[in-house]
Amino acid sequence: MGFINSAIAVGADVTLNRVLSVASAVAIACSLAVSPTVGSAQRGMASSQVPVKDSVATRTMLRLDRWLISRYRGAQLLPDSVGGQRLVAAYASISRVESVVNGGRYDTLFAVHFAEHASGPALSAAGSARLVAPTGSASGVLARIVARRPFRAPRSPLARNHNESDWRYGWAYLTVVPRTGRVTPAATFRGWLMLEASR
Amino acid sequence: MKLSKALWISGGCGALVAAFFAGSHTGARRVRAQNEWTDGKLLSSAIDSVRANALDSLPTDELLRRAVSGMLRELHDPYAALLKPDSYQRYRGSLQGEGRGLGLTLRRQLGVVSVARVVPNSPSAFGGVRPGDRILTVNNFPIADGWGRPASDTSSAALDTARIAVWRASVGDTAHLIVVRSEWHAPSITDAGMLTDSVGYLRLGAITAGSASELERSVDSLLRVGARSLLLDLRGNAGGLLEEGVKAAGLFLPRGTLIASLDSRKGSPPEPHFSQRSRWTNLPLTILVDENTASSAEIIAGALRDHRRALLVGTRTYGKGLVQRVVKLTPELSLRLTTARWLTPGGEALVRRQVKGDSVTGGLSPDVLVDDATRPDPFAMPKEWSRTQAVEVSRAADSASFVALREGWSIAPISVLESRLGAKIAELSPKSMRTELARSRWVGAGIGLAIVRLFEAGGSTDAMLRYSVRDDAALRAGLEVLSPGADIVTALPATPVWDSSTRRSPSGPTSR
Repeated sequence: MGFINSAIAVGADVTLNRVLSVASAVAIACSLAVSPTVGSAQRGMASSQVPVKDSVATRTMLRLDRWLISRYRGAQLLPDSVGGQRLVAAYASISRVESVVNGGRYDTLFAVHFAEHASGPALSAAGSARLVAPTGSASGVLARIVARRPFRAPRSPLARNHNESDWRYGWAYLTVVPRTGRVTPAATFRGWLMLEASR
Repeated sequence: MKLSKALWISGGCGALVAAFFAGSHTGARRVRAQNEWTDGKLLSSAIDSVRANALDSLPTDELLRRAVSGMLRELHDPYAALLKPDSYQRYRGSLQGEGRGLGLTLRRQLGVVSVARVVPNSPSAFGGVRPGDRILTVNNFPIADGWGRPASDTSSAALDTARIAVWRASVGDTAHLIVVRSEWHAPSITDAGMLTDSVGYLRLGAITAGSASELERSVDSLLRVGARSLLLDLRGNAGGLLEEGVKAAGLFLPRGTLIASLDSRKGSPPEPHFSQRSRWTNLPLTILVDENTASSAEIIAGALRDHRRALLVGTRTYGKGLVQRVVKLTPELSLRLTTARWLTPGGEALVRRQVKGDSVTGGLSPDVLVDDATRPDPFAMPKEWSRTQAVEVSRAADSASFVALREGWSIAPISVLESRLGAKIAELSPKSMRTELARSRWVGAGIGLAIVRLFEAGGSTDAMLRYSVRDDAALRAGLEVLSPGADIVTALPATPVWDSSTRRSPSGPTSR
């Protein structure tokens, strides 16, 4: 499995992140096995710096990647090898909203869930998720999944690259919900669960 | 002959030079002493002048005390202070872990005063007060009078014996308790338990005399009941004794490891502090920190982070990299001064945390950043709710929890309990909650309140701890480091039976 980037310092400059994010798509396609050190990660990126159209999807993915990297120091972004498919496994923790950003017409919610292994289940890309209060009371609010990103984050400060038990595997999601007026601030949803909405 | 003459001459010159330097040194000392005498005289003259001429003067001792206070203020040392006997005793007591008051944390909510926490070993604990008890009267006075002071302050109640009448939900009746005020040691470990079958949790609330031993005993107890990793909560820990912080950090590092260095003003090399007693050098460890983690607590977090022993989870810490000492001036007055700055093993000197817009600097930076790392109050209501809405949800939660207690509902599985409580509370939801989202929030808040009341009444501290993981983002993030994918309280969110529209179970990821 190739690591898209690694050990990027928190608050790394936007350009670097952008390069990494844009390059990630190409890196996935090329199945690059990039070493998880900063230097080699950058070398890996250098080989894949081809012009990529700065689409909305790319910008959204970049935003998610930046949030992820600033939140989990030492996190390594992984390629989303399952594409648009949905993976539902019997055993999974449930995604929780960890950060919220107020918007004009839409609020942005960042959600995460972890598993011990890389083959964890995920909510479908470009799907919808139902927001459920931590106590289980469903809200009827649907969040649209705009981007998702598998990643791994260290479980100890001395996480060795090839030692699986030193890492935890997660999925991060960037979702949007329409504003429901001033009565319900986006911060309300922090800590809420996201369950895949039935299709 | 010539040689001995030359030696004599050179020796004489040397003696002259030495005498000159010695004389000049003595002269310098004399000049300095004269200056100090002059300065002292200046202060004395100023006080005499104030006493003689000022329209509103004060007694000499008070003027002197204020002069010293002014001097300390001008040092711009935020921790410098002139301590009177009572302040000195309080300061000393806080570092020694001397308990004050009855050992109760009260919660005043909507006119009801209930016990949120009883400190172990405190007079209240010995008197039989329990969390969740609603206080009706104290010494036959209604609690509404609040001991003649704010209800949250029990530290300086006038009487040595308090006769407290409480209403206890678990028995559905009142109880009369006698709490005798006495000296007691406030424990440093304020919460302890198992978050999952293998993850232990300890909250170190303060670092006072004996904290390291207390921590050691608590870790031992958790390991005995099956803990294989540890979450150490330093949130809200304002620190305390440096030596205890060094000892506590040393428990998790090999013996002889540098924990912190003291850099004093003399320009001498930093004074290193090493771990003395090592216990668990390989136990997986994660530390929770927040903006109020300060001083000795930062020494622990900084040492374990720099030696790559633990991940820090939370927000940037307070950033108090300074050490104070107390000097006794007179039998009555003491002086507290900042005398050194401490450095992490990596040589980092902490600076105060500062927030400018979205950017936060200073303090210790965590490895896993959490938006809001503070411990949530389960009784806090959404800000946008009116008082009426808060009262209604509180009453509904009361009602549901009483039914649950009376009928003996099981607290496990928690999802079933939540579902049953939710159904009861939903029946009581006011018409003002028109939208599904508003109703869901209302019911959710009610379920949370009812569950906490049930746990309090049942004395289920471990269950309460596990339940708090849901709303506590930092605790959740810390648990996810140690046990990724751990399903909190092994509960899939309950299908809300009160809302027919949500009975169609969403086909999302399922859980154990």
